[in-house]
Amino acid sequence: MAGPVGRDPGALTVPVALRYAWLLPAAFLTLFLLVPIAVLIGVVADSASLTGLVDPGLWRVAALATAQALVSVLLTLVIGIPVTGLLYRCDFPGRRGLLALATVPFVLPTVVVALALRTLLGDVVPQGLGLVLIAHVYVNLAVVIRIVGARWSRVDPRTVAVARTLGASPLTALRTVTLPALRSSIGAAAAVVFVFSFTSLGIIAVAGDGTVRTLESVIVRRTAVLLDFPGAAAAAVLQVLVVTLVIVVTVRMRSARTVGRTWNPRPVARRRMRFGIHASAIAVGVLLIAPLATMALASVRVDGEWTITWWSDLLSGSIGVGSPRNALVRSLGIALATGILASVIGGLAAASALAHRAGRTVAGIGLLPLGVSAATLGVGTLLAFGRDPVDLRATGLLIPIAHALVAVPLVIAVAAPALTATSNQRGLVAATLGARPLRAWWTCYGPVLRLVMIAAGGLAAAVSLGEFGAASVLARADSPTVPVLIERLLGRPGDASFGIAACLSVVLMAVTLVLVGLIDRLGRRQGVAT
Amino acid sequence: MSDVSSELTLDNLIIGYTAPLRDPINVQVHSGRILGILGPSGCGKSTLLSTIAGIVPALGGEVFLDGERITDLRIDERRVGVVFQEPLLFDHLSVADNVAYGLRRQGVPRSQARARARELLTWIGLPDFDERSVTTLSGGQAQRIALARAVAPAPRALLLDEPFSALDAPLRRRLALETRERIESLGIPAIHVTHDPEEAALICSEILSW
Repeated sequence: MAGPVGRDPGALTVPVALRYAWLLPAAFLTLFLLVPIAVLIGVVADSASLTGLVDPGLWRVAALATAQALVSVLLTLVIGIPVTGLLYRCDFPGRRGLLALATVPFVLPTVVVALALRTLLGDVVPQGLGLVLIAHVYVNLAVVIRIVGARWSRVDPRTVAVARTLGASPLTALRTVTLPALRSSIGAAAAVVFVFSFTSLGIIAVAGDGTVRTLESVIVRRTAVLLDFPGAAAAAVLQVLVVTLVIVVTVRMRSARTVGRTWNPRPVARRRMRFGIHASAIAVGVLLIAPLATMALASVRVDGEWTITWWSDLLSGSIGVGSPRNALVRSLGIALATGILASVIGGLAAASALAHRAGRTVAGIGLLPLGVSAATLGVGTLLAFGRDPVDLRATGLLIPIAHALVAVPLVIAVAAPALTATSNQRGLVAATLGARPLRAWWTCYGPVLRLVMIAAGGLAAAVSLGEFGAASVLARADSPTVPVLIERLLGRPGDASFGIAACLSVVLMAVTLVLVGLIDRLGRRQGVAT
Repeated sequence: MSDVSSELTLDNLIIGYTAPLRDPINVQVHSGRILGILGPSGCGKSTLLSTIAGIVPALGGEVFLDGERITDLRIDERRVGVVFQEPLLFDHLSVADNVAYGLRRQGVPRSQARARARELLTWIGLPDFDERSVTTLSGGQAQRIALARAVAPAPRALLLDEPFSALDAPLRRRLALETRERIESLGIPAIHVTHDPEEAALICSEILSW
């Protein structure tokens, strides 16, 4: 079963420990991913739930969510593609900063982003479909920028120049040369945005008006409010089917891997164009910052006066829907547990994938949650381990486990390519100097594995902090996480509820940005893509 | 520079991205003639061609084509063909659609543009290549198609930026001779920049050393 390790098919012996390292992730994924999915399917397969699956109301929600997601995709592409061109093809002062800023909404908890936009646009765009669409564009802009930008930076700008010398206007060159070259990346970005918008929950809960629904919101409502588990399971299965269909279609459409050199953006020589580009960059920056700044301001303003009342209330104790301070401590504890659990499980799966087929199978299974929404994982976990005969609710482990399942694919996606790209020659040198197999293996892969596990663990913690779907399903009424508490606060009338929700959002935003900033810095220092 | 009615005239042209790369350039190239500019890497040869084509704005001076001042015209309004060191064919289009690209931009219907493209493919010795994918071509074939694509929309001048430098010596020599014949038959002015004196001697009517 064991073979040579690493990129170079040399003779680095697989250490005994690594031969069996796949067992722990395999056990975790079987117990907490495959068993819950099997239980979910089992619940749907009984006659009552099959009735639920043909419920016209459920299909109406699916159709409306599909339409909403398609419009979100269209708007995100229409706005995202020009912004991508600005960031990847034009050089101007502050370009890198603007690129980082465009990523911020994506890494922030969705309830925070939705609240920020609600705070900024509340008077102009009331809660409802319009605000939901704006929030989806705001969050998913980073998806288009990163995916399409990576391809755009590899499109040789001289091909556009050739088209121009052949008589193409700038728009015609964009339509006939640049966009065809970007087609596969635009398709990939559209698929990701569709899945995020179709399974949206935090934004639906905070920016929606109750009439905008997704299958994800139906799952949460049926589980947490109506206690209709078979109905929730039916919605979850329908959602998994739609998401799987989108992923399969996207993978089939994907063209060959992008190769070739990267073309750095060049300064724009013509003064009039330079002015336009600088003005556009400033406008994009202001649009990105405005919602977050407005929300931060809302946490210290009431009736036009400066105040720290909400911050005092935040620290003082209970406010009727749970203690903000306790929720904060609980969320940080869950994030820490998630970070450790996800980095250990994902790291071991990625390391095992280097050594043998069983490891690669486990790593493949670990990627499955990418196609399963957080609320679905939450319902599955609750059905499998939240009631007799196995009831783990009182242990407080269900949320970290569900969050770890959400984060394990990210850890594997970061760790596996980094390990595969590492040459085993350093290990071979160590072996020739007398190092035993485990020491030789660690000499070779240890530094990379340690780094990616820290970075990916931090990423998992950041994901956990803002996660809303699984926590909505699994959090007990008396022990909410911060995003769940924010949503509960916003459901209550009064300035105080809104102010404290804004304070909690600012705290979540700050902690998330610090975490992501540290990970980015770690990655840059060590030269590993995180 | 006094006579601006000659085919391609550079009048005190200053080239560079932010600062001038060299002294003002004064050059005239007549119809059917190929001016060779010979010089080492970094001397501004490619920047000169990019400036004439309008890809890089001139820092000063003028460019005239058939007596018309084109210095401030947009790239797509100049009708100046360029062949770069690499073929830079459009991967998503067939060979015929690559060659027909410029004609389509002039509003020529697709069937007519493709018919003209097939004539040009015969002209460059690749008559049965019209439906081929450009990703299947050899370096020499791709460069000849880049030449056909550049001349298809009947440019008023042609600029060659070391188009044969990536090819092996025998192919480079053959293509250089073929290209010279074709430019002479088109009757338009051309500038060919290279760092290879042998190639310059083969293809150019006159040579300017930088």
